[in-house]
Amino acid sequence: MSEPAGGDRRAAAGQVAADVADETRAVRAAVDAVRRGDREAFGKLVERYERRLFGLTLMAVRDPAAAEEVAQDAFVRAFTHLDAYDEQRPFYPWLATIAVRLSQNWLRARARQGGHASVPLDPNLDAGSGPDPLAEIVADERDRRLWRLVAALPSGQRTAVFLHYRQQMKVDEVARALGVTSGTVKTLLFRARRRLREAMAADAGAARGEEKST
Amino acid sequence: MTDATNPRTMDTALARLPEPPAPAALSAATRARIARIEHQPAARRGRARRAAASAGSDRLQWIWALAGHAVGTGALVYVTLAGAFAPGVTSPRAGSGLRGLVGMPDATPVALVLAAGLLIFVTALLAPLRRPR
Repeated sequence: MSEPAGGDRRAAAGQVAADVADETRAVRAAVDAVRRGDREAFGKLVERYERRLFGLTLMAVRDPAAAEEVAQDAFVRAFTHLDAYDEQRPFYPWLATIAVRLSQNWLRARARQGGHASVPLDPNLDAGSGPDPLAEIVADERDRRLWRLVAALPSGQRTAVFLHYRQQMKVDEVARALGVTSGTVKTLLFRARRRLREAMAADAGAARGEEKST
Repeated sequence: MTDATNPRTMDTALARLPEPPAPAALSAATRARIARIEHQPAARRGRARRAAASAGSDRLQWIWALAGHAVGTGALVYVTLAGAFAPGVTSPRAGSGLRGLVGMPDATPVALVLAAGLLIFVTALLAPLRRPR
């Protein structure tokens, strides 16, 4: 694929800036309305962010039912603690911070209850026979393979990768969400990339082997 | 899948990680849960008002306790100073055994002031125990 020309890139950057400004305006309006007592306005925030938040919680907990529950809890927590939200900062990183903390709590609770038995999207498990639960959520086969590679990373690494690369959050925002320093996030990302490079190389080798055999 | 050795390729691949669609019921279920929650801004305003009232009441009790303390201290200082400067009424013949004794001023007003100070002090001190929680 060819690189976009300079003019196209500037236009794309301008479009992104305009989208961000629109989002900021819409979020502020909704937050103001909720603070004035219009709780229906919070529904607009739910609609705007449900997909992003569900993606994050699914990557964090790797269980669709639990991810939905955690995402719901995160929205409810955001609603009840809206007074704590600083309007000078973007809304999604604040919401993601809540979701990450709740996901961590869920993972801790599950670990106390005894392991991985109930986690259908855990990539460390042998998929075995039967329908692939991830296929119901992610249609494209290549996307599923990439998802599995990232989901196989340790909890902190996969969440950091998803927040930073997929959801375009800055390192300091990711650090705030994970409750660690920016240096720790850089280390997590570095280790994640190293592991992913190895996993991608192995995956590509396996794919080539499959092609030759067919 | 991709050229795994190329960092830029990996960044691009990661930026294109799938973002699965949210379950259809997520939004509705969240709205329903929010609808069941007590109206937070009003509840929080009520809590803030109660906290402010409680802080004001605490401050008043402190003032009263300090006032009682000041009255009691004032009365004690008065007694000490009045005793030190009161004229000695004992006979010089009584000997050196009575040298440390001082004449007491009229105790009634001092005792009243002391009692009032003590009452104010104790009342303010015990006020938090009487306040309904």
